[in-house]
Amino acid sequence: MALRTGHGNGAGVPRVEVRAPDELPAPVPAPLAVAGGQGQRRADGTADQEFAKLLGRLGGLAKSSGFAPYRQLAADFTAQHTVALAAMAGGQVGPAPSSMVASAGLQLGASRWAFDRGAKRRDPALLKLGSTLANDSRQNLLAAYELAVREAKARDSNGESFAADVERANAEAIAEGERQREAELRSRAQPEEDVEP
Amino acid sequence: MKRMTLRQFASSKAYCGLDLSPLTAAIMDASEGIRPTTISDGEAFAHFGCTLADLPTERRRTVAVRAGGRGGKTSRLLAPAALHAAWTVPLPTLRRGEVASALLVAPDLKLARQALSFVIGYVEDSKILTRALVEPPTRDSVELRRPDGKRVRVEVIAASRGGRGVRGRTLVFAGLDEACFFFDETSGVINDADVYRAVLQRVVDVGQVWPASTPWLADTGLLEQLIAKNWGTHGHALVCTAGTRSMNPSWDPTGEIEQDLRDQDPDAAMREIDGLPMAGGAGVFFDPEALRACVDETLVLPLPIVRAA
Repeated sequence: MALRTGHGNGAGVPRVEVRAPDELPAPVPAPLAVAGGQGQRRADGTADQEFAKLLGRLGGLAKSSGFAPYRQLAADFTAQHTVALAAMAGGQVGPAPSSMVASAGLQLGASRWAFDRGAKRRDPALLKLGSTLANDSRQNLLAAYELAVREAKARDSNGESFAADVERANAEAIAEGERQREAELRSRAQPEEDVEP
Repeated sequence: MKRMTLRQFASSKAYCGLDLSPLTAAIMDASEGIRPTTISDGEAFAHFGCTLADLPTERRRTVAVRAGGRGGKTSRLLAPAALHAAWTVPLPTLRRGEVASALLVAPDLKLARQALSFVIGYVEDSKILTRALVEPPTRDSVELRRPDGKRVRVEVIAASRGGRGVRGRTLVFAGLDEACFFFDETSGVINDADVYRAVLQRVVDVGQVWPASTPWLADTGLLEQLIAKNWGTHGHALVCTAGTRSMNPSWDPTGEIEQDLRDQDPDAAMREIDGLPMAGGAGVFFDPEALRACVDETLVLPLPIVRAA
């Protein structure tokens, strides 16, 4: 990301530029035991308790507004993408990239709403709005990825999460090695026991 | 905190993820004073010259391995041992900004880089070690920052006269790969003992020196001397000899390569597959044994008497 001085139509307004996807930093793998995020939908499509709370916090829109299903899409997308992003960002997504993902989710939902409305009303302006919102959503997702990975690297250089991961890996290696050694000792002792009267 | 053993490190999926042969696992265990559980007394006698119970119960600073080619000396012993030392050897006296080294020394840089390529492969396949990389590996070194903040570089050098290339470093490990073939490139001088002496003094506590090689001449060179002095007793060094199949049971499953080599060059097959050196003096102008027999240390060289004026 880079902060640029706006020019042309955007003169006087600072502008945050997002790097192209092929210039983004390499992901930081999450530990294997990363939790699946804040609740999720059940197989039958209903929300579990945690997810219902999250949806409630997002606030409901009257069904009559026609935006409710799109808001639902936005919430689902936000929850799923945040989990996917955490897997690439050391297992955590901080408040700032989370807000970007939430905005990207709303922009995506609104974009789909605008496309549908535009198609129904044959309104090119709404179709154009849908396209613009989709692009805005993409920019937020790219920015969220970059910021989340940068934060993950900062956490790593801080050493706390890395040290904990190393400690866990070492403990597992030692435990597995000791189990294997005990098994070998047992299997070596077995033939001698067999020949005992 | 308990230190991870070499075998645990090599087998762990979080680190090297190797499926070790029984003898390789036994060498790793014995190198740290742990009684092996993967081989029998008979096998221990054949490879270490003593029973399992007589193997040392404390780590030795030197671990010497003479084995046939394609047994995995470099890929499954030296490379994991270098990486394990880089990752686990305590470095309480390393100063801020100082970088310790785990050296891979070989007769030439090409061979040494081959050994390093195994290390780089293990690092890049490990989620933990990848995160410890200070910068992308080069063909001559790979540098890790450990969780304790210490930086250790696994690096390659070619064996040089007087072992000068290894001086001026804090070492956690030195692997002398193909030690039976150490000659200085410019002078042609055999320098295995020089390199060994230079690294042995510089390796920190808990660190080790591993000379390993396919055999060359019997009774000649550092590795053969280490084996001769420590075979069965392991007083100053743990020593082990093995053929290719003992080290790597999956080598040449059809026996085609072995048969071909034995038919075409039985002497080479003895060295490369059985791990046995050529008979004494086969490659030198004078038999070292004959030379030794000719020397009488008690004789004094008569010198002209110089009287003061």
